[in-house]
Amino acid sequence: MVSTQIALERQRVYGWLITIDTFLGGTGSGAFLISFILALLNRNEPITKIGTLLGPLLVLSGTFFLLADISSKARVYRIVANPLSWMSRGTLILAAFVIFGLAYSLPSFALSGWTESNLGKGIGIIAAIFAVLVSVYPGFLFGRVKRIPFWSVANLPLLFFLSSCCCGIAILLLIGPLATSALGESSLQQLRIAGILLIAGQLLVLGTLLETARHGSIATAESSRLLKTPMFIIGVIIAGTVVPLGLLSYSVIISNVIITNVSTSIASLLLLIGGLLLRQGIIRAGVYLPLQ
Amino acid sequence: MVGDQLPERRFFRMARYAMVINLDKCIGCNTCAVACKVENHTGPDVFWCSVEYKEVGIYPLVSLQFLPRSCAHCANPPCVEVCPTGASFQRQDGIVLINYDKCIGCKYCIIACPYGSRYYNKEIKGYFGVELTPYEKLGYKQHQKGAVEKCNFCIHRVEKGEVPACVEACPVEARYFGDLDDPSSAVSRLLVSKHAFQLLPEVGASPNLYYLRG
Repeated sequence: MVSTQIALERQRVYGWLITIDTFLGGTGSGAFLISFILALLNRNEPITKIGTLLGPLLVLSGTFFLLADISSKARVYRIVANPLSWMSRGTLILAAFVIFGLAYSLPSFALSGWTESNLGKGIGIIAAIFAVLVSVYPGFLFGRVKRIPFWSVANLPLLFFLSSCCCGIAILLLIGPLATSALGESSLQQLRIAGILLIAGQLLVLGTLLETARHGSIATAESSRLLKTPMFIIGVIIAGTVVPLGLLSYSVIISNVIITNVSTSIASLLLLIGGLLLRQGIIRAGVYLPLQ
Repeated sequence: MVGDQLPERRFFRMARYAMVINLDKCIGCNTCAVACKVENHTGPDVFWCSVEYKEVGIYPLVSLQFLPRSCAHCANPPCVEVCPTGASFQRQDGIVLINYDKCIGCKYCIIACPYGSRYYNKEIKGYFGVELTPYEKLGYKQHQKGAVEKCNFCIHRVEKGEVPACVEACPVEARYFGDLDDPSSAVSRLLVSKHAFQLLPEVGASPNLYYLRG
């Protein structure tokens, strides 16, 4: 028999599997988008090829975690049956991104001049559009849950998009210095500057989200309180956002290549960890509206 | 249907079913929850019908308020909209059902439901140990492991012209069930005559589960 005292309750349905799925999806879409923009700017270093290949592969690997969360895997083909559902839409978006992303990336390893061709650029643009959709759709999927007001906010998709771009840049900066000739110094600088701007944007949107939640309803205030954990404050805000912002800013102004590369790599690693913990925090802090 | 509708009217229009619960009468006995379990053979962690309590007032003037809960069979059901496979669907009479054979267990509907009325059937387990009793073996056939389930307004009873088990079992007759499109039905008359409210109207689900208080 259930006779329970009514209290604020957080959601316990979605956990680490969905967190990792959205993280890999965001990082992959961000990596593709940034690499594609670099390629459009005629920066056809090897890193753009690696980035556009890594993107769809990361998104694909994320779907395995999504599948792990679904109990009836034999019936998973039905997941696209309802176009009104953001889960159906998201599956179609993910599939389209993987298909167009690989269609853009794979020929670039075999065909010279593929990314400069009209067909290549056309496929790349379509893939880039789907990359943007991949990065924002989790915000819409969570935002459809009206019972969790912390999620039903307009800037959640924007936060996911900015985080995806930050994680995408992070993984490119992590790979770039490992293959020293893969990314020219000017491209590295451009990525660092872009990273600084995106991290600042992410910090602004996250701050707005948390402050609005703190002064909102009883449920959003509880969500805001649940985020005041060491993992979120240290992992996301300090180590995952502020420290990388400082390190990347330092890397931009300093001229010593070794120190620059080391600080860039540390910043990238922290950004990736911060991106994962950001998603974990937001999913975990979903508090239901009380019924009474 | 349910004593309020002339038989021949069934052939000319579809009903719009709703439930009304008089909170001034409810004593929090949980008979409805038990009747639901007996009728629908739900497992130990699944409560299609439950009662919540809330303490109000300051000592020594403290009282308990009871809130019976079940699926509200909303007019704009968020669960149907978010279900990616179409397993959750709504009949023309407003009753929201789940086709277990289509459900993939993604649990999106559980989160989307404004009233927390859905349950994920992770495993089939009995009340009295690992081995299921003959009664449980018979009853659990209605359920499917890995699917989401919820109150279905005892659709098997409603289609026979009966009321849901929770309505019949309530010892203080706090529950009413009927057709909102029939102005002579008990639910229609109660909603007009007394102060009625819905839970969380701001989420826009338009639940067909109403409460009376005061």
